[in-house]
Amino acid sequence: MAAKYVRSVIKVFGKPPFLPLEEHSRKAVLAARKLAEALEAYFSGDPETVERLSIELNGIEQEADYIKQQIRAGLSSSVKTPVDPKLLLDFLSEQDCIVNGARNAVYWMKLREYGTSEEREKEGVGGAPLLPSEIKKGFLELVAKVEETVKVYHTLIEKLYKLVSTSFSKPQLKATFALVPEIDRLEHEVDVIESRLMKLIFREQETLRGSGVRHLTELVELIGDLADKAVSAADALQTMVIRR
Amino acid sequence: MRDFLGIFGKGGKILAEIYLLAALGLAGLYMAWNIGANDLANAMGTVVGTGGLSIRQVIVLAAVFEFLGAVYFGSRVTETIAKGIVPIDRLGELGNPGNLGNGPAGLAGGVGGFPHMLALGMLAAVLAAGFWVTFATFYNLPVSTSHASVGGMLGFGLALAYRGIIPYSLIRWPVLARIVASWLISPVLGAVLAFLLFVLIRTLVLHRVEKDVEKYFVGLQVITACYLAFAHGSNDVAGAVGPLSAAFARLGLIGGEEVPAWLFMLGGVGMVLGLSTWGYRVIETVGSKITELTPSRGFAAQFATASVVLLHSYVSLPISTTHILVGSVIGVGLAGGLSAVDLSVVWKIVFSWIVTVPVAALTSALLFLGFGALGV
Repeated sequence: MAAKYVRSVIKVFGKPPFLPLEEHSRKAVLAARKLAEALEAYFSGDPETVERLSIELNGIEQEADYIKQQIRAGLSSSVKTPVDPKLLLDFLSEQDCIVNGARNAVYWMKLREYGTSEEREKEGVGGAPLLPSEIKKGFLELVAKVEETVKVYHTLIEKLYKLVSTSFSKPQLKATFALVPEIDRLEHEVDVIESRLMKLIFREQETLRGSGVRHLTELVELIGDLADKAVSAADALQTMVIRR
Repeated sequence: MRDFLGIFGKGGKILAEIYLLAALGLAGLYMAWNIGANDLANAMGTVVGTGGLSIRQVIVLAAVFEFLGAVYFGSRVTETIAKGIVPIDRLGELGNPGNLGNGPAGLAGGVGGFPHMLALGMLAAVLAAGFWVTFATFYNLPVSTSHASVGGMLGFGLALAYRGIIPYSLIRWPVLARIVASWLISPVLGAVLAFLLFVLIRTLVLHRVEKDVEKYFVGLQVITACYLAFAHGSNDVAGAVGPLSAAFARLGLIGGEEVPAWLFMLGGVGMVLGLSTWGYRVIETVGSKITELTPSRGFAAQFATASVVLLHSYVSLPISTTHILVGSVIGVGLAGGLSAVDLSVVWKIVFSWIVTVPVAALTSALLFLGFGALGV
């Protein structure tokens, strides 16, 4: 039965934003996974899979947007939350950037193709430039670290609900924020991989040609961005909780 | 019923009396049903919502304690409804009701004379309150049954005064003012008490104990469920039983001093019927939607509500359990216990305050005057 023909106390209960926040963060983890899969497919010369994953990512992005809208709609001015709703929405849009970042990276990735060694054998020197395996390895390492960062970020969000349910108890606060330096550390590792990869790309500028260098360096930036966004979201979360 | 008198003669008068008593009894049951089906069910829904108890357990507990509250602690508020607003027990004490008013007491000339007329007025009051509550339920307005009952009684008093049977000054305006003030104060009291309770729970329990503490509050839910039902029964039974007791006393069916237990039992039975025939659906709806209310939060809100309601039963003031519950939930929310409370409901409640009394009063007055015009 819907709330029909009922005079009820239900309406005083607003839409709680914290569980949807967690669901939204789960989309970020999923998006990071899809990005990693897409990159793998991309390097093994499987554009169909890349395309499929790209479409999936668009879907994930839309789902995340929908959750975001739902949370925002639930936070009208008459709704009181234990945290500042403005800071909550700030934090949410940072988190949303992770999903968007994954989609953007795959979009950028698809703009240019690199040949595989088998193709090179068939087509000779005129085909798409071959990607040195060192660069491939670097990219896979990068995306793995990014995915790990987003995953740790998600465990932070999972603790948020527990934090709210204990009404922000000190031990819970400690346990939650203990994860923030961990995310920072991972992001730093991402940075290290990024700069190493950049150097590798420029070292190969002769074979990759100008557009190849432009494409790959931008791709490095876009993938690395996910970790940056995870850090910003974690910071925004911390701000939200501290200033409640 | 004048017609009945014509047809049946003296037997007709008795028959008319029986009809009137039956109508009063049914109207009282209808009102009690309304109270049980919605107000009680809402309160109990929050118990189910905490996940502490099943719907079946809650209904059994609520039925028992609602009944006990009505029978053992329902008399104070019932007195207020029965004779606090319009001193029905003292009307016509001088023998000739015309003495009380200015002109000829047109309505008092009915079949059974003055007591009969008063009983009809009580019927009008209960029906008016019941109709408004049913209407409000249909449109999901957060209307209080207690407010509607007070409005119904007031309407009857105003109709008497309008017909010149009593002066307007005989309506106990100070009592009415106290009642209305309590409607404003009681939800705030609920909010403050719930706020303090939750802050206490948070600092003493939630922040101190490492492991899952909510399970300790599950046991407490049994106690608060009983407490809440008892408090609700003690206050809200008056809406159904108050007008009935005034009518029955004037008809000589019961003594004027004390409302007999069987009348409260009638009210109790009606409320429990309402709970079990319709209220369980309300409990289901409320229970399934308010997952946010964990046992600790539920305890704070329910304990505060029950205490404030019982306090008002003690000082004989009819208040709205639902509104106090809303106030208490807001209190817990403002103490940081809930991740979202929607304060827009407050305006709906304020609107219902403003509307309920005039509407119920007008309906009651019109019904009463209508009975008179029809020659009932």
